[in-house]
Amino acid sequence: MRTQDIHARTEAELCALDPDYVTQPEGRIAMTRAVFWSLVALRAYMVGLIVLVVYRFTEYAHLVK
Amino acid sequence: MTLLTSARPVGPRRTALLRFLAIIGPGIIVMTGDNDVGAFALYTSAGALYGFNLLWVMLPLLPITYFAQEMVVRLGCATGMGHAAMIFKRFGSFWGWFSLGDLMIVNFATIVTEFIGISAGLGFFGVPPWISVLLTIAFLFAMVSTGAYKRWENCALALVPLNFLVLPAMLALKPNYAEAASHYFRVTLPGGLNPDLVFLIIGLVGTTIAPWQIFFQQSAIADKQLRIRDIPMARLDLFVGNLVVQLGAFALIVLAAVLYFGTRTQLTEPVQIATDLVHRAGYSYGALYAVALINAGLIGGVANSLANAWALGEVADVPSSLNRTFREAPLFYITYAFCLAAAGALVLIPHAPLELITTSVQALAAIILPVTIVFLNLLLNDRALLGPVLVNKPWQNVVNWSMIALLFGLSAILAAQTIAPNLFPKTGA
Repeated sequence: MRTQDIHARTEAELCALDPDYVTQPEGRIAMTRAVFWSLVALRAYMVGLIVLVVYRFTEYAHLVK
Repeated sequence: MTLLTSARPVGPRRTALLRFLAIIGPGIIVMTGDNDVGAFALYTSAGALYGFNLLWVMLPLLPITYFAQEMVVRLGCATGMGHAAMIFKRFGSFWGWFSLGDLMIVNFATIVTEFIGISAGLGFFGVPPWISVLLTIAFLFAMVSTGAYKRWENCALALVPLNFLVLPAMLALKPNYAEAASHYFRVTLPGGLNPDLVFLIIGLVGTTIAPWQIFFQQSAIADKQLRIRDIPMARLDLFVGNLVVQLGAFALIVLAAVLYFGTRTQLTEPVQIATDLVHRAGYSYGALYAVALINAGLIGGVANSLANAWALGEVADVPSSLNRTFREAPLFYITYAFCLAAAGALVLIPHAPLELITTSVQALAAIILPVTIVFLNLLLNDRALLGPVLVNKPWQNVVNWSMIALLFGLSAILAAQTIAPNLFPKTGA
C-alpha cells in the first residue's frame, strides 16, 4: 500500500484503518548536497575518533584492572 | 452458538490487556538485552569508582532510549522491514555497507563480552570455560532452531525475569535508598571532567542505548509481523522494557557502590562481585548474582547474534526469519552460528584482557551511536515513505536532534581528551 493511499489525519485514525505495510517509494531518499557532505564528515569524524581511542586504548586500562 | 452467546463479554480493559500480551516481546527483550554483560561491567564500575555519584546519568537516558527506540517502532510497524534493508533501499549501498560494517564489528565485539560474562558466571559454579562456551552455543542455537518466531520470543521472555535476580543481593546489603534516590537528581562530576569519568559516562551511554538495539528491534518487529495498528501497544512494550533497564541499572550501581566505593578495590573480573557477595551476604546471594550475569550474557548474546543474522539476510535479500527453517534460510542461521562460534573461541584465548575489552566495546558503541541515530532520524523524516501521520513531529525532531547533539558533545569531549589528556584539569573529588 502506498503512503498517499492512506487517508488519515491522526495516528488514532490511522490505527483504526489498520492499513497494510507501506510500500517503498521509488528511488532514494531526497538528500541535499549539504546533508550528504555532513554525513561524509560525520563518518570521517567517527572513524578518526575510533582510531584515536584505539591508539590510546591502554590509557583506560587502569579503570578496570 | 449457545456457547458464544452465554460467554461473558470481554471488557475493553481485558481486550487491551490481551492485546498487550500478544504484542509484548520486541521492546522488552531489546531493553533487557541492554542490561547485558557489558552493562553489568559498566554499571558496577561506575558504582565501585564513584558510589552513587553517577546515578544521575541514568535519568536522561530513560527518555533518550525511549525516543530513539520509539522511532524504530514506527518505522518497523509501518514498513514491515528491517533497519539494514531500509538503509540500503533509501540511502543506497554506499551508506548501507558502512552501517552494516559498523553493526557487524560492534555486535561481534559485544557477543565476545557476553561469552566473557557467561563463562565467568558458570565459573562461579565450577564449570570450566570450554564447557561454558559449548553449553552457551548449544543453548543459544537451540533457542532459535524452533522454526517459529513466537517460540523463540517465549524463550527470550522467560529469561527476562531473571534480570531481577540482582535485586535480592542489593536489598541484602541494606543501602541508603534515600541517598541513592537523591543522586538521581543531583548532577555531580566527581574529580572534574577528567578522561576517566568521561570515558565511563560515554560507556554508560553506549551500554544503555546501542546501535544493535535499533537494528534488532526493527527486525524483530518485522519478523513478528507487527503492523501500524500495533504501534500503541508496541510503544507500551518498549516503555515497560525501559523501566526494566532502569531498575537493573539502579540495582547494579547501588550494589557495587555499597560493596566497593571508598575501598579502592579494582574490579578485575566480571564474577568478582558474586565472590565478594558470598563473603558479605552469603553464598545464595553470590549465586543469584552469578545466575543474573549468565542470564545477561544469554539475552545479550542471542539479541546481538540475531541482529547480525537478520541484517545480513536483509541486505543479501534472502530469507532471514525465525519463522523459516535452516533449509529455507541458510545464510541467516549460518551467520548466527558463526557469530556465536567465533566469539566463543575468542574468549578461550588465554590471558586476553577480557574486562578491558568489555568496557571498551561500550565506548565504541557510543561513538558509533550518533551516526546510527542520524540515519534513523532522517528515515523518520522521510514523508514519501511514512506519510504525514507517522513522520516525526517537529517536537520529536527537536528532542532527537538535541539527543544527537548531546551524544556528539560527549564523543567530542572524549576526542579532545584523547588528543590532549590534560585539557580539563582534575578538581577535588
